[in-house]
Formats: sequence, C-alpha cells, structure tokens
Amino acid sequence: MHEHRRVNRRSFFLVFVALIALAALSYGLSFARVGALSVPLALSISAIKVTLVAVFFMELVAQRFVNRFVVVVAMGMLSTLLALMAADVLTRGTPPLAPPLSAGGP
Amino acid sequence: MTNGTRVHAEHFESLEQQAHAAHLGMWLFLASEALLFSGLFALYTLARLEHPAGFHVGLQHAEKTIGSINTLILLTSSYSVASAVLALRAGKRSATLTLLAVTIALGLGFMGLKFFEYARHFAEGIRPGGQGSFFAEFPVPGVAPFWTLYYVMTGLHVLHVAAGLSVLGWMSWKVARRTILPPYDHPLALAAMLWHLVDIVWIFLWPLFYLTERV
Repeated sequence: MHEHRRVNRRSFFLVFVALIALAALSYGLSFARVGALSVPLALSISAIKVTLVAVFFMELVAQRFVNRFVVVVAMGMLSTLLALMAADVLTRGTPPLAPPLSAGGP
Repeated sequence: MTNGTRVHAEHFESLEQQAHAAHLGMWLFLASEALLFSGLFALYTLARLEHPAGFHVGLQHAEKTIGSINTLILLTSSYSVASAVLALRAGKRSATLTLLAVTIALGLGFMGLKFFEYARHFAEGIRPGGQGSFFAEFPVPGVAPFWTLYYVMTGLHVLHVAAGLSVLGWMSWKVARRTILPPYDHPLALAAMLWHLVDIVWIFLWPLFYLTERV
C-alpha cells in the first residue's frame, strides 16, 4: 500500500521530540527582543513544525508522488498569493503628483 | 466494505489503489481547507501591517500560558493519533483504542481550556466586533480588528477541533466493532490526517495570537 518502513514508532517519537523542542524555542524567542524579525522567525519555526507533521505524522514521505505533488503545488500557490498580497500592502504609498501643466502647453 | 476480510470496493482494482485514491482525495480536501484558513491569515497580515500598535496592545493581553499549554496538548495529540494508526496497522486493536482515547481526551482538554480562555476575555470586556469596556480603555486603532480576528480564527479552529473529535469518536467505534481492521485500515489514517490539520492550523495561530508581542 505505502512505503511504511519510513514511518515507524521510532521516527514518530523523534519527530514528537523535535516538535516539542521547536515549540520551546518559539516560546523562548517570544521573550527576546528580536525587533522586526519577531514574526518571520516565529513563522519560520512554525513552517518547520508543519513540515515535520505533514511529512511524518501524515505519512507524506511514504506516499506516491502525486500526493506530494498536490501538497507542494497547493502550498506554492498559497505562498505566492500571500506574498503578492503582502507586497501590495507594504509598497502602497501616496503617488507623486503630476507636474503642473505649463501655461499654453506644448 | 464491512470488515478486514473484504479486500476492496468493486470499482477499484486493489485495496492499495483504493487507499491511494482515498489519500489523494483527503489531500485535496485539506488543500481546500488551507484555502479557507489562508484567506483569514491574509486578512490578519493586512490588518497587522496597517495597525502594528493595535496588534501590539492586543498581543500584550493574550493568555500566553493557556495558549502555550494548548500547543503542547495538540502536538501530543498529533503524536498519539499517528501512533494509533501504526498500532492498528500492527494489528494491536487494544493499543489503537487506548491511543484514540488519549487523543480524544487531549482534544477535549484543548476545547475546555479554549472556552475558559474565551470566558476570561469576556470578563475583561473583550468581545468580538470591538464591543466591551476593554476597547474604551485602549482606544488604539487596530485593537478591535485584532480581537475580532482572534475570535473568528480561533473559533473556526475550535469548530474543526469539534469535527475532528467527532470523526475520531466514530473511528474508535468502528475499530471497537472490528469494522476497521488491517489491511483495511486507511479510514483511520484519513481521520488522523484531519486531526493533524487541526494541529497544523494551531501551529500558525499560536505565534500570531500569543507569542509575537515583542517587536
């Protein structure tokens, strides 16, 4: 059915320990003053945790290519949409005024 | 398909093909769920970029300890439900049922703490839509959107927790009745995937609503 050798009790336990360690890291970082990196750092740790859950607990590592393809494409599309939206908001500003028309014009 | 002795549904060539199709369908469903939540995460991003001061005030009043305990609860429940799938595959029915019971208990614990947290916020005068005495005390732009997004996003998540618990309860019943037995074990794996989605969404909600108050 699946390549189940890569998901076993040992790998699940190691993933669980890693998840708890990463959660502790997130919690610890919340007390550090890391400035503008606060959110990017926290979300990067979250992304690592989610990858561990999807690859091992959800057994993506043991499934066929097409299932992995669905996940990669879906996450890629969502990331692109969110990045474009954030880029739009971050680069908004008051557009410069057009230069006044000279009397008489060209 | 009624028990482990029947190998696969008529329209599949094998049980392997049936399980693969079911997993593919589940991944597509989870992708649509990701779309649903990503709209709300986009709204959060927009509101936070426009009102950083209001979100800072909101985060300072978050129940960080409760949120963090709930994170440990959900991570542990993901581990227990994943282990339940392994136990079923190994033919350990009793261990499967125990691990499912642990998962359900953890899920109920999460919901209990979440509703306790909501009650504390209501007592502080923090209600959705900028309603309550808290907002008069902290008249900062962005505070109301922060708390409204908090209630909407964590509320939608709690609905998923409730749905996940129902499905896990149903699966426990089927395992107990021996209608799910190896090699016909993928229904439990699919239910576990739904539960992992609950965990995944919370993994992102936790830093955004509890941890990132210091900038």
